Amino acid sequence: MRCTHAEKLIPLFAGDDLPAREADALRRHLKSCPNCRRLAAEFEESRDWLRGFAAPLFDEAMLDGVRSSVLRNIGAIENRARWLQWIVPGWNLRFTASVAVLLLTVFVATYAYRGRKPQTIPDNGSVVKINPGGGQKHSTGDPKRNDEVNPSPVPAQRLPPKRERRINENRGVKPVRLPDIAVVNAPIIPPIINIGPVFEPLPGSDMAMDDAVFNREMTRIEFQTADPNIRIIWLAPKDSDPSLTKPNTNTR
Amino acid sequence: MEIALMAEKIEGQDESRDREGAVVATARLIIRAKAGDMAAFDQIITNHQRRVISLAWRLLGNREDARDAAQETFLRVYKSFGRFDPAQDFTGWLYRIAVNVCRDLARKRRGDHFSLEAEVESGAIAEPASPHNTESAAMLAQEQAILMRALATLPEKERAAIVLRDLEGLDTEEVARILGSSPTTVRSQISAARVKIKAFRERFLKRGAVTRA
Repeated sequence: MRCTHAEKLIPLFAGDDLPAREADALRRHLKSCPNCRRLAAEFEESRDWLRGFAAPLFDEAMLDGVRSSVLRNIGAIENRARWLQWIVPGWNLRFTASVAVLLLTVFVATYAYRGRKPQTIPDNGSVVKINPGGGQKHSTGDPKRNDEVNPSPVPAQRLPPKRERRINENRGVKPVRLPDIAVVNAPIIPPIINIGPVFEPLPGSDMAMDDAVFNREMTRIEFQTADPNIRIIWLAPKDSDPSLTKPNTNTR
Repeated sequence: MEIALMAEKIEGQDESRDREGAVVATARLIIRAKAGDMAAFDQIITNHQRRVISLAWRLLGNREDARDAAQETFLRVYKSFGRFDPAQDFTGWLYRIAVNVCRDLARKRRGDHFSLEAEVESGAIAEPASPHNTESAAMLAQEQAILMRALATLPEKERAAIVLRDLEGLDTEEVARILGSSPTTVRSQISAARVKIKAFRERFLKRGAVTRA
């Protein structure tokens, strides 16, 4: 055996941790090698020094403290288990936890799926029909009456094919089929928040009388937006230049 | 000569009989504790807590951590009682839990906890037996502190292996079972630990930190 190999085995030899065959071979080498013999003696001395490490003295108070703390914690564990059995008697905690996790997963998946689904716009009316000939019908503007819808004086616009939406006419008003009618899909006007008066009353005038006069002579078209609380009212003077008409908005 | 040999043999047989008796008694206590007998579990704690605290102190280096580790060890023993077979070696199983607890605690509280003054003040280091021989008592205290520091310099696996083998007196196969390693790995760890401790001790001897009478 060479000294390089013996030096690797000596730490284990000093603690009787070598297999018998290797220990015998090392013993034979140590008989003939003083350096390795000295090294083995140093390792044995170091091991004896380590083994002389006396166990620390722990007083009874500390030991009693450890024991009582352990028993107290065990009591708390037992109480928790009893409460759980009282709440869900006969049930396994793991089974209960698994069911709870499963329900939570189903709930989250359902919520995520419903969040992705696009909301449909409520469809309460029919298509606004415009008479390309410019014919118009009078409207009293009363949403409760079954009035005919006056077509908008705004010229028909060409819309992108994908944005086909239905525009609600005045509630309660049935669409009227007029001759030479072209059905046009008018664009959806985005909800307009700002509300302004339809017109400014004349000073000293009677609002009700003015209102009636106004409605006799004005063309009124209502658009229901995606928001059910916002409705756009399109007003235009009768027989006026379509390019001069301006939409008015009002919310109800 | 023959009488001495016979006496030694009988003593050995007595020891093994005592050990067997202790094992049987422990198995009975475990069976009762598994059935819910808290008095039996209390007795198990009393029988083994000193050993567990000593092991924890050697691995962690201070009393507070050793006490916390001992409490946690016995709590884990209680929670794992359902999986333990009374026919198995309870001491080995207990050591395994204690080593794992100490490992977890050491990772939580990283840092060098070893302080000679702190350990002397707390009383962890042995007090001198004779008040007249203060010089040797001081030397003893100093050596113990150096030893603790030497253990602290070791990696946790080597420290656990050397403490279980050389300080607790367990054999290599038992240490391997407790640490969840192979005997070859444990021998390698023990060998490396002994080399480092020897080097550490020689360094302090050269500096004159430890003077032998």
